[in-house]
Amino acid sequence: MKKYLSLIFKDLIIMKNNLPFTALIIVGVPLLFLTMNPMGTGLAAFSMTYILALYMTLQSLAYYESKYRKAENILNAAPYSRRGIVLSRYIFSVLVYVVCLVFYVILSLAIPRLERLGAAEAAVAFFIGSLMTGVLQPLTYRFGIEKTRYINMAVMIGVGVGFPYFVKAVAGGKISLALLGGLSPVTTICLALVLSLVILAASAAVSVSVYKKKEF
Amino acid sequence: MQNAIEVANLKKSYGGFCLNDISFTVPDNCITGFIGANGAGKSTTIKSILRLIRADGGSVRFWGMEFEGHEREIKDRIGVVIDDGSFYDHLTMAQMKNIIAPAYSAWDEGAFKANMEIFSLNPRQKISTLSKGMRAKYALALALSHNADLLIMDEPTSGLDPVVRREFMNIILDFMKKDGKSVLFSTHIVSDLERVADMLLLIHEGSIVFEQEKDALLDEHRVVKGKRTEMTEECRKLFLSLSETDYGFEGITKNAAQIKRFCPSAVVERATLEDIMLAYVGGKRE
Repeated sequence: MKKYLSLIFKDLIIMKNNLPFTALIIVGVPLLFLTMNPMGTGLAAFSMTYILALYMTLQSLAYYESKYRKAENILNAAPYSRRGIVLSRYIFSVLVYVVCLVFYVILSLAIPRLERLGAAEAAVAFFIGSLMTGVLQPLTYRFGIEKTRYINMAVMIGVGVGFPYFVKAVAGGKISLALLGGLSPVTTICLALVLSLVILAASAAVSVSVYKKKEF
Repeated sequence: MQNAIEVANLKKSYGGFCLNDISFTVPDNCITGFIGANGAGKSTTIKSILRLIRADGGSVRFWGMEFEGHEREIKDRIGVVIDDGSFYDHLTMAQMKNIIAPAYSAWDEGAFKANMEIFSLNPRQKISTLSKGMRAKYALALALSHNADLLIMDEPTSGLDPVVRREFMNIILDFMKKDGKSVLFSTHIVSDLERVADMLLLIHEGSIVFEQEKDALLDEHRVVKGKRTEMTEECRKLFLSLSETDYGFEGITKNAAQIKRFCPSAVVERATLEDIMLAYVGGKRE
């Protein structure tokens, strides 16, 4: 456990220069949604915040690791396991979600106009982020940030920008989610969390397999 | 006496290069110099040993233990210096230390601070602003701060001036004063090892050419200089490397006494490690 915490702390240290910008996203995006579209906060605002913060985090870490590629020599020569190095990144991505959620809840309590997030909505947002992490992380480990830069950006834009419009379309009745509409909040939460964990676990397994074979 | 490292039949192939069944040992309480020209396979061997690259075959044991099942335990006892340090340059030395230190169970913060002071390094300084010499010293400070039993260093003094290189060697000698310590030091600057090495390994084109005690190696080999007129075909065969001009010859040999019988007026001198290395890897008869 201590080694995982050390590795998460490592990621924080590496991306320290980007932390202020990430903090700005976490606080600023919900407020931006509020000013641009007072009726479109809640799930849309939070999911956008989380996606952007997650993208910023994962991309900046991949950028620094690519820029200082030789640093992986000393990291892997130290008593850190390759499995631990990869898994800690996934844990870190979950921590990003937790931080985004905490700040959104605080903001929504402080600003009444900011729509509060329900538990089911929070779970769905986690699912979206897990999907993004689950797809992008193995690709980044396998091909590196340079080759996956445009894929990463496309996925982030597609999910981050498309999803709020999707939510708006559902709310406006343009898209029907009759099947999902029949699910209780508890079922939605359980389904979202289980699917998220399955996606993250499968993705982590692939990433570990790729990283274990990497040569420095 | 247990060996710190035992390498057996190590193989690794890249596009145009391969390690050919490398086997050698790094004894305990020894400084083993790993010498060879650029591209000979030193870094490939060291990275294979450290599992930074995957060998195609062979085995590596540390203190009798294989990596499988003992990886963390082994790495905990090894201090590594690769090139001039492999760091996140945008961090300060203190921040980089905070990334590495938690990995080691025996990390000694007091030793780290002491080493940084001895090397005149400011932990708050950014790594990107360090000179090559300072980076090398910082890498060594990290490697020496977790009570390592084995130092593995890949070309740590490359590009450093003689003053810094001398300082580096003195630090390694200090490290060796404690019992149970070992060093594997790869370099193409052979003169660095002349003062400190106990054992020498020479690698050339992916194969080990010799593995021998340094003093024995220096005792065996001689530089012989003499008149061209005394040279014979039989005498030529006794040289590892030989250079002839119209007037004289100069060569490296393990058979100085025999050559003296052919060339009585020849002068015999002690060979340096560099002479010996060049004789084996660039040996020529002209």
